[in-house]
Amino acid sequence: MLKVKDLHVSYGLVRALQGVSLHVPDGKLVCVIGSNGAGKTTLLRTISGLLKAQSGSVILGDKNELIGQKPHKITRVGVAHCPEGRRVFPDQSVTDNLILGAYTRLKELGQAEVRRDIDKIFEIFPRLNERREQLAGTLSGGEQQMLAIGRALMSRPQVLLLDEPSMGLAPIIIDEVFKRLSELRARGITMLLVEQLAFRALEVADYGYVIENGKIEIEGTAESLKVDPRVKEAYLGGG
Amino acid sequence: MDFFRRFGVTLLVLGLACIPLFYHNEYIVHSVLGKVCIYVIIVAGLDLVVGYSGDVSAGHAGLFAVGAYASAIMMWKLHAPFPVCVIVATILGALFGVILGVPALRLKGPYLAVSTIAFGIIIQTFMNETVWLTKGSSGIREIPRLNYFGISFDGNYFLYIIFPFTVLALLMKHGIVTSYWGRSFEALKESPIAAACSGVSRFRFKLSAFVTSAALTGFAGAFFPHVDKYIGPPTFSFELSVSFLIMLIFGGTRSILGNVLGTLFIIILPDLFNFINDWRLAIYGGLLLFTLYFLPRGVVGLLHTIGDRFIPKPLPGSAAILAAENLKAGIEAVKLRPEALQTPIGDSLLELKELTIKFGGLTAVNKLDMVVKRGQIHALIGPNGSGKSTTVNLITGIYVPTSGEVLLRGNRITGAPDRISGLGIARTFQNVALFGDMTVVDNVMVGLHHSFKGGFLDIVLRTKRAKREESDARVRALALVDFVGIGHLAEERAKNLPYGKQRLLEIARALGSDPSLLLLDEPAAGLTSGEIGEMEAIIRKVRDAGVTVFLIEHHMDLVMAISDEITVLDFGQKIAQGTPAQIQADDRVINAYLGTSGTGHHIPAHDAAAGSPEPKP
Amino acid sequence: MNFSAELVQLLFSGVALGMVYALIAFGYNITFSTSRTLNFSQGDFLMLGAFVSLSILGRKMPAWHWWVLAVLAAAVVGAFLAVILQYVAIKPALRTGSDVSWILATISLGIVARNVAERVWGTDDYPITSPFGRDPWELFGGKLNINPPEVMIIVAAALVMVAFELFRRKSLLGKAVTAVAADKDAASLMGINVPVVIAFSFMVSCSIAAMGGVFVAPLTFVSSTMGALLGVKAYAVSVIGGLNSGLGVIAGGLILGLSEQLTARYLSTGYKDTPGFVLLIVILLVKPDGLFGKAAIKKV
Repeated sequence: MLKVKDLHVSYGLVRALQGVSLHVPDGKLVCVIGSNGAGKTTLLRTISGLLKAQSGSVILGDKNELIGQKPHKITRVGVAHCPEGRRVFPDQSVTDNLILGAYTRLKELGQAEVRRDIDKIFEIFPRLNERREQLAGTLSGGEQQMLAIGRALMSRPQVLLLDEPSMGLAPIIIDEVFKRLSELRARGITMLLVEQLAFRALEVADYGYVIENGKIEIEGTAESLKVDPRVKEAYLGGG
Repeated sequence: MDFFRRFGVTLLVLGLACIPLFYHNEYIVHSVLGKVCIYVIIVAGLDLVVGYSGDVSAGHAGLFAVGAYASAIMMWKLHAPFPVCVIVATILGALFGVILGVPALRLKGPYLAVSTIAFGIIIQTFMNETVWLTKGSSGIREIPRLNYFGISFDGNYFLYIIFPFTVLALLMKHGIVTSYWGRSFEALKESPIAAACSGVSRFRFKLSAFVTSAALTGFAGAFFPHVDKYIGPPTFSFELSVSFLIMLIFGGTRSILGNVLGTLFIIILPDLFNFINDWRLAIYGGLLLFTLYFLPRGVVGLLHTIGDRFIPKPLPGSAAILAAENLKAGIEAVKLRPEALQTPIGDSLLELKELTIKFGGLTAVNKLDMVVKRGQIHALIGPNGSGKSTTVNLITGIYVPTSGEVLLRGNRITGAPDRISGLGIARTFQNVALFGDMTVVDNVMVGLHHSFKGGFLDIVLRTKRAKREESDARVRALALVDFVGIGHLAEERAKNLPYGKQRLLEIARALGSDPSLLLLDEPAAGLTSGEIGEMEAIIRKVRDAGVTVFLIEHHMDLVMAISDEITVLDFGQKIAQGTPAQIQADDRVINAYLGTSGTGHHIPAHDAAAGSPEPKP
Repeated sequence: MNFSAELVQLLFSGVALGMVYALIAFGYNITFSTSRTLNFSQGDFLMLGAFVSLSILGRKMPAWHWWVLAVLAAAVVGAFLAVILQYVAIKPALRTGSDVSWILATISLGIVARNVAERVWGTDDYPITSPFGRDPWELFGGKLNINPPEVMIIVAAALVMVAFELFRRKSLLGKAVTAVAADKDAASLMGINVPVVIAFSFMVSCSIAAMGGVFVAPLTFVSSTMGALLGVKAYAVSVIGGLNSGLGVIAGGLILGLSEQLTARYLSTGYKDTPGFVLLIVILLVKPDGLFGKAAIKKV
């Protein structure tokens, strides 16, 4: 579904990605784990067009090259990006946030269809339904995260990119977020999850990559990575 | 080189001074050149604010009016001698500069621009309305003649009154901008936070830029009544403020040649082409747009570009040569403050007590207790958003804690970043915050800010003291640049440095303030593995020179290799403290980083990896 | 006419004036929220809008439909000017990355506009009549006189602002404008073409200014210099209300309008421009985010 090949990215003078390649198969949840500053966010921002790549390619589906396209175009062809730090629109209601998520498709689908999509999102995240008219900025961190994910789903993406959904959340809320992610996985949604909390991510993922200093250092099935001692080393050093 | 330049400039100045002797066109010599001489002073003053401080003032016509009216009114009503009028006008200009400058302390960009426009309009209202003082819209015509030693200076010889002062004003500006004042202005423009953390007081230097600029403008204004022997409100309009800006930008900011060329061109333009008068403002506006678009550095920038093509570049400054002589200083360049040496190695240097800060409902740092011992490398680690940078910002005075305190050698420290810097705490920044347009050595000289004790007069008069401070600082700056291993890049602009070298330069700049404690905020972020090795060596070298190091870092190999002590934060709270080995084995730390619940999963021991390919580069 | 009637009339004039300021300031806030820039030549765009209406209406009392046409024509001209503004002044200046550039660029565009208007229409003041006519309306049996153009200004300005607020809240494009103002990256991830939305916000902003010119023309006369001071005062209003606040501009406008009228009446007409600017400088010093603005936490 999504193939990243030999991606090189620098911003300013920093070389953030140095030849990253990975593959997200249809209907699977693939995670990229690694410590802060390893290049995880850069990877997602490059895929969704917010950052320019020096070289490499990102192919959606069979031959849809994403590199070089503007972010709003990339959303249109079917990549939804749920950004780091949630980034909901704070001065707009929960419903408006979701409507904006369907921005690219509203004309094509029509109001009624979008309403139905919104109801589906409320089904997945019942908490949002309770707060549908509330301003997004007044939601708790966990609710904002749910909203951000729901908003991204509203574009009916082929691939959903998730950037660190656990960030800044209390452990119990993280539990809930990851429960929702595994539900989404069960619904067959293709996802690329970037996460610092390695074991949490591996618990819900099919396949994983470990990124360090802008390079993929280890990859394997989630099961194999869970028991791989090199994962911990990548975080806390070899000692 | 220097000698030839000086000789050339002197010759030029003397040549210009001879103009009234053999060119007698009164309109050109008296009105046009006289006005040019006055406006050049204003534009040079404006350059301090716009070019060096990076603020927009669209209210300089108001300051000009203050000077002109003060001088005219004193001559007319009090029959005061002209020199007295000049002095009073300058002082009044400076006072009004405070009014104009105080907003600049808090505002930037459009906000400040609006407040300066408002200032100009208020002044104009007063010119029109205080009829008893200014004669309102009819203006003041009662300007006395200028006669000294039996010679009338009203016609072409007026140039002999104003020209020397123009030259002096330009020399003064040159003196200011090449001193630590000029560097402070620029540092505050390029990175206010980094400047403050280098000890530069925003209050003092932002205001100084405005006040100096305003004083020069008031000074120039004092001469203005003698140009037409008349002043009236319409002259000092918003359009005039804009014209000053156009002269400055068109000629090229941060250049005396640019100030002169810009002013000259804009003033004589309407005289060159008659038809221009009707379209004067449109042409000025168009010219400014053209300049912004095609000549971002003004005419002078263009001349430089052409010049660079035909004239070989001089050797990179006499400074570099000087450096080679004095660089034996080496490690001694990193000198410690006397009070730092009184703390024995291993004693508490920095202590945080229940340090807490809340942003709205979020508690970013929560009751943090921590001790950093003198002579150690102490690391602060933790997942994203755990409050590490906030802690450093609290220590350096960028944030004010909600509760709790920071102690340095047992004494509570508070205050703005420039004060904290003065106490011997220096820092670097997560997103490198250098003064990009300044050279490497000048960056470090901003770090050496505290070593300059000379006042305004020292700078303007270029006293021995000012010269000695400047050259001492330069030697020391070069030694520090060399200490971090980038001596060969000393005369390069900071923004042209490779990223890794920029990080090193930040450390050199921080060391300039003789810190006893150096805070490094992610020094290895974005570096290649080779550069990380270099960074590791420098950090050790800094510690060996006696400076205690406190760092935030995500590259765990680096952290584990160099730290004597590690503190781990999660959700703003300390969850562990200990040696690298202790931290690596701590369940809470592993949990915070990898997200295991501690019960559900087997945590693999790291030593089991022997034989498998090494994951790190 | 007794004192209180005079005061009511005075206050009414102050409100009318305040609504003009509020309307222009409202336009500033729209572009400032989406692009962090604003047009320092907005007052001159207002002046051009007024001249457009002059060309259409002439000096006779216009029929209503002609007047509406003039407003629409001004709006179209304003939108067109916005395109020029963006391509000539804002976009090139933003490449240099400094605030100084775009401020100077938009200021110079204003000078050019003023000079062009002066060459085309001369330096005269042209009167223009409102569709209500010139005669004041007498209320309460002549105890109270209300100036029709003032009523028109209050109604028209309120209508324009309410219309845009409704658009911003109800329509998809309006929601997109709010989203871009809040977070450009997140907006583009929704599939919103951010540069187009910013361009649109400039068109709306400049249209509003140009329409403001038509509204205010019956009160002030039409001349090449009519906009300069109005534009600057509207910045003051914008800043007093808070550049980030939506309708804070109305409060800011009313404060300024009323203080000017009261100063003119009880102090001196010459000083009527000062209280607003003094207030501006005071507010900037005390509460730089404006009376109704939200302070943002700055990350280092």
